[in-house]
Amino acid sequence: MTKLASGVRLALPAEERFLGLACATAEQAAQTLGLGKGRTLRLVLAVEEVLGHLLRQGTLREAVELTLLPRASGVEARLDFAAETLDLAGMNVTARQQACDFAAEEDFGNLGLLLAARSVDRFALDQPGPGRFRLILRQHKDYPRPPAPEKPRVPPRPPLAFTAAPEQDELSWAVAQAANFHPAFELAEWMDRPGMVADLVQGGELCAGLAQDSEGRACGLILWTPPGKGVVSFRGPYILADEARAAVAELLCDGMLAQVARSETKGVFTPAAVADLPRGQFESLGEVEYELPDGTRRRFEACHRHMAEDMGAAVWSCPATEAFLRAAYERHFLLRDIRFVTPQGGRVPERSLFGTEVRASRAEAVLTPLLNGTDAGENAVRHACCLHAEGVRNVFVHLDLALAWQAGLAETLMEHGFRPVLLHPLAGRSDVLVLRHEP
Amino acid sequence: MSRRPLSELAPEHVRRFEAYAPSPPDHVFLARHGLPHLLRLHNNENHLGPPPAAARVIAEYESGRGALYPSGDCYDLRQALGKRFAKDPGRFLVGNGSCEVIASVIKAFCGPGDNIVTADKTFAVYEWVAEFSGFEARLTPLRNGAYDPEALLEAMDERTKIVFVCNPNNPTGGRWNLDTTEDFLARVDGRAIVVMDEAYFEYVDKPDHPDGMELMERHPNVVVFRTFSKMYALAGLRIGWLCGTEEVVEMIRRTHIVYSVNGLGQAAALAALSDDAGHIAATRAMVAEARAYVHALAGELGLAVQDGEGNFAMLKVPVSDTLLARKLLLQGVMVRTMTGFRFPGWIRVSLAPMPMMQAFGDALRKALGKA
Repeated sequence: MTKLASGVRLALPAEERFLGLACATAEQAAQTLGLGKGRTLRLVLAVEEVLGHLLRQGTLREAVELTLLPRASGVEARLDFAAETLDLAGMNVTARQQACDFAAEEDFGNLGLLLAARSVDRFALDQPGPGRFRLILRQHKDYPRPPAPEKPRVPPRPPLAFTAAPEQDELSWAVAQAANFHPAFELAEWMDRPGMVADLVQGGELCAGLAQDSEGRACGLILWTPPGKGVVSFRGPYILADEARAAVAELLCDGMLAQVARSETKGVFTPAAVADLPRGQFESLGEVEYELPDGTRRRFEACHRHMAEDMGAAVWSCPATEAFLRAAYERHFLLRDIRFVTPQGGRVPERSLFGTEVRASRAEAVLTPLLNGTDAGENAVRHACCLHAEGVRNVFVHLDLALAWQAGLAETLMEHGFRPVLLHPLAGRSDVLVLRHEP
Repeated sequence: MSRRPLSELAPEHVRRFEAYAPSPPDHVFLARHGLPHLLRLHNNENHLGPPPAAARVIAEYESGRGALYPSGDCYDLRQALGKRFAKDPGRFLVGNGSCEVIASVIKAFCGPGDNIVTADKTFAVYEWVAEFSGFEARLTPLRNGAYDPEALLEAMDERTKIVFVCNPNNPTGGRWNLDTTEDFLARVDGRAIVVMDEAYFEYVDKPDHPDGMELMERHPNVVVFRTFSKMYALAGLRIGWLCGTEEVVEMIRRTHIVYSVNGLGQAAALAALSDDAGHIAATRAMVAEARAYVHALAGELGLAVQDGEGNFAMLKVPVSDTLLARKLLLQGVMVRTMTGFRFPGWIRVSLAPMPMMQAFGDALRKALGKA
């Protein structure tokens, strides 16, 4: 076992008899890193099921590394491994339906993976290199959901200033205040837990900017993901006053852009533009109608802006999405060489894998293809149907057009009821095409 | 054991740094997108071209000399610079553009835990080199488009080794006059190296403008950067230089790469120095005419202008600067977006001969729907 500055790492031979050691390590480390008992058990369950599945598959080439890391809002377990092939299809969110069939066939392996996927707050699979995989399992701590505090009565006093390093209590207060000045549909769903937002900011997993008046009172808030490759996703600006809303909004957006400038971030993006967003500094990517949990319908506008010049790029497409892409590129004045995906005759695994992220407040699920498979179209539909049955009525697939295999999935997805609705410039390794399930 | 990605061998400050992605070469760009022409108004280049003597040297350069290593320390060019500025040639270091001498100074004076101080809205390379070298870059806001001496002094501490001052400032054109500079240097009082980056010095025609080459004789912590890329129009050959006191330059020399300046560049720069009076006058006249055009254009379109000295001007545009740049690009006009300089909603345009400025004006009107 290796002690890290901020966590522990355990290298395990790829043998099933070491599974118990891995689970015991995960349990002790998660509790040491501050996770409560109940949530620790959920994380340990996920580690046990995933690792057990990998070991039983017998395709691992080398040892497996288990790393437990503290995260701002909880604990993350990472599994790094090399494998000839990888079949994690059981982790698809739809596996619950399949699991019934599998159970009938006494295939409990996939049921275990399903349990793993659903017992953690987030799972993600990455491929750092050919044949190398990193599986991430994240479990949040428990956070209270306090009611909104009393609305401030004093209007902000100029001059206003932007701060990107808000004091933690001030930030929590501002997050809670947002509900007093903005309708619920404009708020990010995690904003009902101001303590978690403050922890995420403190831990560097989320960035926050406040507009403050001459007396240091917060009168505006904007939140964004830390700069990195691709685009920064932001929420807001949230104006915590009834006066000077446009000035506060501009201050917040300019402040955020200044913070993101000179990072590797190529653009900033909001999936739900608020009414106060300074439209002149952003480009509308389009509106998408959502069916919300209460049954009402609402249109959300996605907005974007580049952080630097865009000198053009090449993207992949299939014939089915060509017209949509050409129209989008023309509308956004983007120079793109469209290359068409052609079957190369290589072996495609039978079973695909989609990562799934659910945003309950918008009854929305985003599916991201993690592994290609001949069943991708059917698999995505199964996801959509399963999610729909659970009240998640807005199901999207994000395809990174830098990757031919992902761009190629559009064809089969469209044959299975998905339609292109948005193009997010630079949102992945290249542009990201968003398809929506429209049964 | 599962091997971790090789990228994890790199230090954290390198891993989190963004590699700068230069734009593709013009010919690739033109061919890729079927554009008939490309007006380069994004890099503050001097579109009059190099001084005549330098142009002749470039045209007549013998191909056989390409097989030979150049002077490793730019001997002849340093002799000429010494003569021009009445200083010992040993006090000059020449680099492959100013970017190289920036790195040399930072490597010479900064160690673990040290910091540099500069402005937030200025030439980005000071900040970049510091950060990818593992040193903190402390950034201070501008005041009226120029560096704020009070903010710089406030940001300094005992671990501050270098203060970078771009004067006049790119991209705002704001500048310090002699009094401000003298006062600042007196208050720094030798606690840190003060780099006066005078990349646009030759564009300034103001009697109260400070000359770092004189200041360093009274303030031995001053290091001056100048370049042949701007006024002398030799950007493609990459020649920048620094000058300081013997003591300071002796330290920088230890971290400075030799043989990095190519032979053609050295020869062209040498020639440029010998024949620059007419060239500088013609360039200043061209810039003045272009500046007047930009102000008139901005007035016509209702856009704010931020400029001062140097061959560039900033325009506040009513849409995202990055969107506007793409609209201009589709018309074959390249401008610099200012979001990366922390001026969202602004573009910077080089001041160039009138036919280019008029083409820019036409493209801008069209992009803004005011053609």
